[in-house]
This record gives sequence, C-alpha cells and structure tokens, in this order.
Amino acid sequence: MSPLATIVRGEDTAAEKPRACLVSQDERLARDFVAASGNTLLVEVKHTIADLLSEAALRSRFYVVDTLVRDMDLWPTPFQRFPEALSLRWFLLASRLPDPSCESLLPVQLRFLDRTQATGARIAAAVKREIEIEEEHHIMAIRYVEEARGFAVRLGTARSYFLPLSELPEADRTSVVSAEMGEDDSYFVVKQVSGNWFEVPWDDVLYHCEPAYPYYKQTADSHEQGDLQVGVRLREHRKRRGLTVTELARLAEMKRPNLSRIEHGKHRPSLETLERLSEALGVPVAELVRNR
Amino acid sequence: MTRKKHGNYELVTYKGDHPPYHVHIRRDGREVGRWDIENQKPMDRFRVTKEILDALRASGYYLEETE
Repeated sequence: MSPLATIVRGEDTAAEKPRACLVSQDERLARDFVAASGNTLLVEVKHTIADLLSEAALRSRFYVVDTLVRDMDLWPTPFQRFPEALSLRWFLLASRLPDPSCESLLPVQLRFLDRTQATGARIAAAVKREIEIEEEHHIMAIRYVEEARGFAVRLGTARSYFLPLSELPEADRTSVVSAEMGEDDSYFVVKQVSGNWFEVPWDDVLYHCEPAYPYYKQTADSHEQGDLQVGVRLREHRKRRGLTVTELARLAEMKRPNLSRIEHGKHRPSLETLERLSEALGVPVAELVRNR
Repeated sequence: MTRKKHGNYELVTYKGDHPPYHVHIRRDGREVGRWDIENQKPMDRFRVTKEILDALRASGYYLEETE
C-alpha cells in the first residue's frame, strides 16, 4: 500500500450523527422528515416554540421551525434567553420573517424554506446540504508525503485531496519538516527546513484541489492585474505620507527589496504583510486591496 | 494567522490563504462566513448584520464609502 493510501484510509472514524430538531404540529410533515433523514440525521420533533425554552432543549445542531406552530408569537425568545442558540443552524418554514422587527436578534445563518413547498424530503435535503458545508470547514487528517512532495488532506466531508507543495506560493524550495493541525481543525501548519512556515486553511485546500469550489484557482492574468493595483495603491499612499521605500519598509518591519517588489506588482504579499503596511501608513487594509 | 476580536465576532486571516484577500468570520468558535476584502462582499451565504459590518470596519476590512 502506498503512503498516500495509508493516510487517506487510515484514520476513518465513525462520526456521531448530527442532531436535527423539527418544531411543527404537522404530524405528517414530521413523519416524512424523519423518514427522509434516513440514517444520516438523528431527528427529534417538538411541537411548540415553548419546548425550546429550556437549556436542555437546545441540544441539536440544526433546528427547523414551522411558522404555523400555535405559539409562534414566542419567536425569537429562544435567542434572547440563550445567546448560544445564535451559533446553531436554524431554518424557518416561511417565505419571510414573521416579524421583521426581530431580525437583528436572529442568527446570521438563518435559512428560509418556503412553507407551501415544504416536504419532509426537501427539509432533509436542505439540512444535509448545510451539514456538508459545515463539514467542508474541518480538516480531519493531514500528512506530508515526502516521495510525492505534497500533502494528503482529508476534509470533514470525507473527501480526500492531494495538494502538491509546489502549488503553495508561501512555500520555498526546502524540505518540509512538519505538517500539523493548527490550534483548531480549520487549518494546518507547514514548517520547512529554512525556518519558513505558513498556514493552509480548509478553503485553500479547496481552492487548489476542488474544481467545484466557487473560488477554484482563478486565472493567472487576474492575479497579476490585482497585484499591480495593490502595488500602485501602496505607492500612492506611501508618497502621500511623504515616506521613502526604505522608511516604510522599516516601519512595517520588512526588507526594502521585498517592498519594492510589491510596489512593482512583482509579488503578491500575504494579507499579514499588507496589514503591517496599512498600519504603518495609517489606512485600513481594505483601502490597499479593494477593487475600484 | 491573525485573530481580531470585536463584539461577539472573531475575524481570522491566515498566512497563505487564497485570493481574493478575505477574512474568516467566526462566532463561538464556529465559522459563520467569509468576507471578500477586495470586492467588499460576502463570499458565503450569511446575513451581513450591522454587528458584523462594525467588526469588519473596526478591523480595516470594510470601507463604508465606496467611490
């Protein structure tokens, strides 16, 4: 078995089923939702908003609330009483908010499902899609494969990818010393013999490896164009402040030739570097990078 | 990685993340979405509330007035 196969197949674990809760008095809808969820979701059904007003009730990750429940007037009390409810995922079976004035109290990821079109199968599909999106944000396993000079990465979706070291612009030509998970599972950290190190977040893996990812590798032309704009804007702000390249490089704690390369659009700086430069120039970093 | 905490939100950027320049927005340790700094718009499906915009603005990732 190749090292890559060992990595990809070696750390599979039986994940706990995600819990989803449907709040509805529609027995048929509830029955269909449970059936459509099959063995991928652990479903519980509650009949009123009042049922959600105890801490123990908020133990699911996903909540689907039918706006036709009899005590919908209690909405959005669960969010007022339990701030942690805001970080759970909520779906409303409605076409719009029952009371638009409560919008600011609601989670930013609240989803709407048309009540007139809602079926158990549609609700289950929507919840499963959200689970997939969430799982994409987790790196489950990472290992550097020396022979292939790249990383075997498995995301929470259970999809595995091979990410060549040469694809990562932050990498230099020296060998990789280690590739380890970060403080949480949203990224991994690569260290090289030269002392160079960088982070690879979950979305960077998709950017390089997953053609279905909406931000999959853009064209080289558009990168070069953007890098040139950043350089031009940086020079404008530096001159406005009356600073030389040497002075700004010193203030931003970087080497003069590197700053010069950035100003000439020959190097795409990391956001971290741009933040140091924006701080030295006294302008928001967005001012340096935004497209006009 | 840089982490900037503002109100209930934490804004995270990674050294070596992909273009466009963007920031990951987290709450209670979970990612709620990402903000495209170059194009000043969300990259994912989430409601950009006033609290989120305040956090982005205070951290230099959102410019209120666009030309």
